[in-house]
Amino acid sequence: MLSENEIIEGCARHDRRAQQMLYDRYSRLLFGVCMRYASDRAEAEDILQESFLKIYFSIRDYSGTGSFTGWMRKIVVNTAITHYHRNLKHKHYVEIEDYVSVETGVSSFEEDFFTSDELFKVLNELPPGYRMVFNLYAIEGYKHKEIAEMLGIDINTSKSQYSRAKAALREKLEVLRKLKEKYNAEDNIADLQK
Amino acid sequence: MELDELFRSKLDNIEAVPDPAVRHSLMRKLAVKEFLRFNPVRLNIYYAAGIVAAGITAAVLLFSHDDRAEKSEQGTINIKSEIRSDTVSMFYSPAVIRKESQEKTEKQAISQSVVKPDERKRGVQPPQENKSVGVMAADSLKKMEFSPVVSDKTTNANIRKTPVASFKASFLQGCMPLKVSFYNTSVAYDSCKWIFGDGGSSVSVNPEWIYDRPGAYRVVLNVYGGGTVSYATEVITVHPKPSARFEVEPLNPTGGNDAVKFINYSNDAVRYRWDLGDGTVSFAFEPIHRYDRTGKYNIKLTVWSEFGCADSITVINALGGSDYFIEFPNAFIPNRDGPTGGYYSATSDASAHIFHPIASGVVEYQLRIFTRTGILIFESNDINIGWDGYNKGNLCEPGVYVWKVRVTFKNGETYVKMGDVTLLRGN
Repeated sequence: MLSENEIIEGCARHDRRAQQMLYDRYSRLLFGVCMRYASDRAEAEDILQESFLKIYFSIRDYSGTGSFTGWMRKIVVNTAITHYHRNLKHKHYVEIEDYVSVETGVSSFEEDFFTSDELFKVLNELPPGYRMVFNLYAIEGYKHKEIAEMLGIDINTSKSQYSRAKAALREKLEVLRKLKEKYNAEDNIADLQK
Repeated sequence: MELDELFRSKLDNIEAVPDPAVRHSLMRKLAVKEFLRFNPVRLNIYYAAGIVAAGITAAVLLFSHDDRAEKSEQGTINIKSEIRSDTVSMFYSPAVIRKESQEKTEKQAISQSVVKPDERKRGVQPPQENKSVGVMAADSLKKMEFSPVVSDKTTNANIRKTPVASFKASFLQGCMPLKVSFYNTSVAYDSCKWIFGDGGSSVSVNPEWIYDRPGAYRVVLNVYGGGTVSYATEVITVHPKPSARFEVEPLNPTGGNDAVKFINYSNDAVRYRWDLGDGTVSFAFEPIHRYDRTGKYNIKLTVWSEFGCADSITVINALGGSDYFIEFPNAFIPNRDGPTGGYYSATSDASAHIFHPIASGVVEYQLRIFTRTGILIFESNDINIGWDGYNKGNLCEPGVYVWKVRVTFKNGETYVKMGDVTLLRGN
């Protein structure tokens, strides 16, 4: 097994073995990022492929300072944004909810109540615009100003979409929680009856 | 736990396993991209192109080498045959050689000699004597190019005089009508006949011929001498001449406001040049032009075909040539002796006492004069009555007045125009 630095150097030389090894080592982590941004698996796979091609051909630009995974994640995020723009068919379409304030549901959740798969699913169900902003702000940690620049939207749009995204997520999680509690209760009853 | 934190903690470093097919297709795409990229250590498109280029170069080199070898081989054979037949006459015609070397009829000899080069290529080995003759025949045929020698019965007396036809033409292609001068450069002939390919013929030595229809014509020159005939041929291409035709709309623009449209009906043309008569030149297909002033303009259209053949048409007085127009002066000097009533004729108003138009073809007419403040002071519905500069019997103040005219011409066209006129004080 090669170390991270050896892989980077190999990829810079366009060494086929290093390129394969880079994929084998990091594809799962980066695919996780792709999954967050994409509406479905197929789109996530497209983003992953594009990102890896970008990584292979611009690996010389990686300065070596800062974490390599962080650098790759940035490329994936940028690719996802490009993808989002390319697939944006209703660019000037504004959700009516953008103008109506909706605050529902509880504000806190227990950490271990939901599995990662469930969170993925809930996130993927969001409208693409909400999902982009929520991902970039809540998980990647970008500022609204940066997000506005990246997505080419107004800073207030970014802010409002983030709060709509949160509201929508809460609602969905609430529904999910009730369902789960119901099933858990049924399971408990079934257990008792045994 | 806050929503953000929940998602971050659960999804930030989450790993997901992509389909194995993704890796496969990624590696394939990568291979293609790497192939297109220059890389000294890997086979890529630049290497592939280099290999192909090297292969082609090698093939070309090999081929040209072969060719040279073949030529030198021919050379040696020629020398051999010269030595062996040791007669001077053999240089004149393959037919002669045949006659001397083998006693067969001339026609057979020719057909054999023409076939020979092919046999040689196919690797058939004819007897030595035949081979030398064959090569000679092929050589002399090459020299004559378009003039294969067809020999008839020959006698020893005119053996040395076998005609070889050739000619030059002043043009091989040109525009219709095309006049071509032909120069007979044949050797050793007594008489000649030209067939021009369009049904015409001539027995002159250097004829001229005019082609008046487009097309491709095969010119044949037959030269006769020593009982044999030789011919040379060439193709003359006559390009069709385009035809320049156009119309103008409207025919009679009444003033500078009207855009004149030129409608192009030219045929077989690809390039156009319009001289619009007022110094304007346009290269558009159908130009639209506004003339600063009405008048008579000569319009010339020149067109060119794709072969560079030109045609032009000039229409004299294409505009303003018709009788429908109306024009007003920009100043007049009223008669101070009193109102005249405004009647005028073409000759009676030489001193410009009346403000009136020059016009032609007007059937309906309304002229109104306003002061600068918009007060109507004069109106006429008769083109023969102009304004004499008086309002209700009083001479108007010198200055600028506004006129507006509405006319209908004989062709039914209605025309409205406004302008101003300066009333000058007479002496």
